[in-house]
Amino acid sequence: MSRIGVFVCHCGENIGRTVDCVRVAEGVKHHPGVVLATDYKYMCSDPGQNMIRQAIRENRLDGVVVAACSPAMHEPTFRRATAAEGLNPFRCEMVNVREHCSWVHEDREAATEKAIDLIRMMIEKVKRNCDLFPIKVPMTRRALVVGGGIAGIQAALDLANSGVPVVMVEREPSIGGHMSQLSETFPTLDCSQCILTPRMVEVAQHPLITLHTYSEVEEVRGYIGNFKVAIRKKARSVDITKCTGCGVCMQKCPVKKLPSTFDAGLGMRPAIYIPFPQAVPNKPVIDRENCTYFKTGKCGVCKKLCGPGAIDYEQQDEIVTEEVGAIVLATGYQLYRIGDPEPGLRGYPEYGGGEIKDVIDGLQFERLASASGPTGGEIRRPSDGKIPQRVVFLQCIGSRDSSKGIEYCSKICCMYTAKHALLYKHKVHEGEAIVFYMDVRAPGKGYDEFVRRAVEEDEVLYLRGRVSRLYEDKGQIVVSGVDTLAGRPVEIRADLVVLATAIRPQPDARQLAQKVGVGYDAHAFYSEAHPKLRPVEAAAAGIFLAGACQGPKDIPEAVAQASAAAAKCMVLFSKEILEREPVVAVVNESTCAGCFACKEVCAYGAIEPFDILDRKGNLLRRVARVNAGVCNGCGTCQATCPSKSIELSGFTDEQVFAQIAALRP
Amino acid sequence: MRRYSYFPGCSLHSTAREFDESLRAVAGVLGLELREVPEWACCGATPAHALDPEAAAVLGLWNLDHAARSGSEPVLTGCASCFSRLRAVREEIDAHPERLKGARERLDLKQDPRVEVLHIAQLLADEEIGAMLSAGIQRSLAGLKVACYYGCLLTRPRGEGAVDDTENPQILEGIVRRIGAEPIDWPLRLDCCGASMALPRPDLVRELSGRLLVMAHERGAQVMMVACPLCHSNLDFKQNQILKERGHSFRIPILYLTQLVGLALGLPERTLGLHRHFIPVPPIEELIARGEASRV
Repeated sequence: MSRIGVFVCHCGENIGRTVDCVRVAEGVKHHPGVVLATDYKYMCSDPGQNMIRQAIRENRLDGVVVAACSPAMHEPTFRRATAAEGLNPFRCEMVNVREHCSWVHEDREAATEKAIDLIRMMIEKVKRNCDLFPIKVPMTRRALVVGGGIAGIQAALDLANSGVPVVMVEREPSIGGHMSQLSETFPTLDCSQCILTPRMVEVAQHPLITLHTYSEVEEVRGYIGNFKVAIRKKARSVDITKCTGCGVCMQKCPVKKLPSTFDAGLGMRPAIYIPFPQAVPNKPVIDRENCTYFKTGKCGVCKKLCGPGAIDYEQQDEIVTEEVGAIVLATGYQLYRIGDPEPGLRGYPEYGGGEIKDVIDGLQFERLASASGPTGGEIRRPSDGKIPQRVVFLQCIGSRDSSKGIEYCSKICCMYTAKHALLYKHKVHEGEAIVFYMDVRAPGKGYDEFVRRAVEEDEVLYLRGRVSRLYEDKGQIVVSGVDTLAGRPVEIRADLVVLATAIRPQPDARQLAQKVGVGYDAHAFYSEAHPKLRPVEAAAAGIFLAGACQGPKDIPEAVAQASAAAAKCMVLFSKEILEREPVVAVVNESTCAGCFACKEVCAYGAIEPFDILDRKGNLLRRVARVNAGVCNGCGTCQATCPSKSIELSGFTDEQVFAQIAALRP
Repeated sequence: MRRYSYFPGCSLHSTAREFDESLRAVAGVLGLELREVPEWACCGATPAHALDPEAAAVLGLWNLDHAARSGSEPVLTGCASCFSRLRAVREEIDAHPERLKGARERLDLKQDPRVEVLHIAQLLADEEIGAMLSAGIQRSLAGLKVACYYGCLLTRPRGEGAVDDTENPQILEGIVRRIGAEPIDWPLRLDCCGASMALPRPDLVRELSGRLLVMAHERGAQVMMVACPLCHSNLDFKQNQILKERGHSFRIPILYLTQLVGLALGLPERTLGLHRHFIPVPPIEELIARGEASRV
């Protein structure tokens, strides 16, 4: 006869408010096999756990059922407590009477009855639980960092400096990300390039960092500790082992007027180019779509002039495979566009839909203000190069506007708009800077002080209200909006308008998430495993998140998160051997017919053929076997096997049918 | 032959008679049969819906009910305000029928009238009718620069069944192109004309409508095309006063869309009621020639 203890948690009021926990404990007390049933306000707390441990000790329990929150939340907690008393942790199971019961019901009577039923089902399962032991798998102590912006750089350097080899993949020709485009950074106004570029060089020179630029993740296979990653190294058309970075090719390239991505479209670049002078690696790449040689087969100027003979028109994309034990995703963000918005979003035709030249976004303003930018740091407007005498900044463009499809706050715009206005005033003293805002959200160290400085010292005019229309008139832009504090419409003629457009995930964030196996929200920002307690881990084991791919973030926050992700990798790599949950499929080789229907359905490639031989080495039968290191315990094979020869440890047919049978009146 | 329950509304029977006349004339050429909604009442516009939402709902329901009882044809409107009010009530029937409970009881209605509500612009932009329109063109408007003016109500309420997008509508420009004229790009096509402030705050209307007239003129418009009697009244009736105050000598004819379409279809000016405007409408050929001369 089993000796099972049932522990019902009130979860403060979360469960207790709707479910009568005392009655639930009373209701299962006399269920066959139960020797003890009790309730407590916070079962996960120290006294709560001690209660379970004491009960195991004193009542010689062989099974534990905790009716509380989701196992995703506290199963490890209670299994640890169980193991501490010498009982196999897999004899402890949780019943979710919070998410599955109290939170979704209102009728206390019915919810209480349902909780009792759920617990009775689990008691029947636990009676049939066996001891299970963690699977030990070897692990590759090496990490992949996807994205070479500030978050990826920080994570890679922290890992490499702690002795973990790192593979970094960056899809642009240079690492540096959006931070390399910025002029000065809030709230201290230190130069972005000055603090970033030394870190970029450090990455390139670090003996433990393998850098793949102009490359993308093609495929990810395997599991925590043992990922195999295929990386597409896009054809650069330049052999970077030969190239010295002298720049002759760029000077002589006859195609000169292509919009520079680095300069946010405000500057020009040739068809063979290094994105910016401080690029890492400082080697050019040919933009094949716009190169005359690739379009017509004629030209070849760069090849003729290249001293070291580094130009290689025949170069092909190359796939390299790297083995790693952990993956840090740091893929960053893009900006929302008011014309040509992403599918599902609405643009701003009322602001000219991106057609008015002197209506620019925040990154474009950064390039205008940057000493390395197309105007050499002078604020000159794109249409005619004149210095604007009145600049209007509009916050929350796209953000916090569900009618445009984005309900969230982009978080960094209040700060960078204050910075832009202040930089403008520092460069154009007699100029006028006006900001339209909804709320000023500046909760960071030194942040509100910075905004006050813009208002008080630099006389930036803040108007609370929205702008309904922007249009060109006689060489200026008419900004027609409302000042909601004064309660009156305002119309301002501006020379330049800067839009603080929303922070968006990368355009292919979904595809990468599907390749790597991480979850994402409705906007394709990557989901963390727990919003408070596991903010840098993805739900999939061995995958960590850093920077704006998880949600809008400023530099300090992205850096902190990247260091945290690196630390999480180090925790993982601190062990020699990786222990995995033993919830995997097991084949009964004596009944397996070797049809391999299971192999067909296995999404993880965990099923392998195994030959049963006699003593002389003759083949008797070929059967299926499960690679426990690869199996994810999804159970698809179990449901598929025609001869019922595969069982999922901890979820056998016997256990599941017993649970269902327990519901029988 | 397509049939419609025609809802003219108060303006089209009085100050905007020419809208009614031109709409009926155009419908005749295009083979659209109009039957006036029997016993139609006020659509519930401004005073009602601003002061007593239930009164507005009663009026809207009354009109839709009378249309539905005389047949299942869609209700056709010319006035942007009538369109907006009837569509608002029609939308309420689907989305929030409980909000109409009081109105329904006051009218003793057993069943909600589920007739479609259309604006004449939607018909003229319709593929099939548009093709008939293209085929029926008798008079070239090539070179005529038209400022399409939407005002506020034509594109509202937004959502399914709306005439077009609220922020960037293109339907009027499409109609202008179809009849061979040239829509100009001007930024104030959705701005307010001052609407019913004409009585309490005439200064406001002079300011707002004045901006529209000046901007349209500056951007090269030879005529302005509207779909709302109130816009027309502010822009046409008050135009002399407004422009004189601002010291401008130009005048710009304000035409209902059905008047311009009627001209393209070769209908006589008198049939289209062009003589009823305060700002005289010169013969179109003369306007076009004037525009060409100024460009040389």
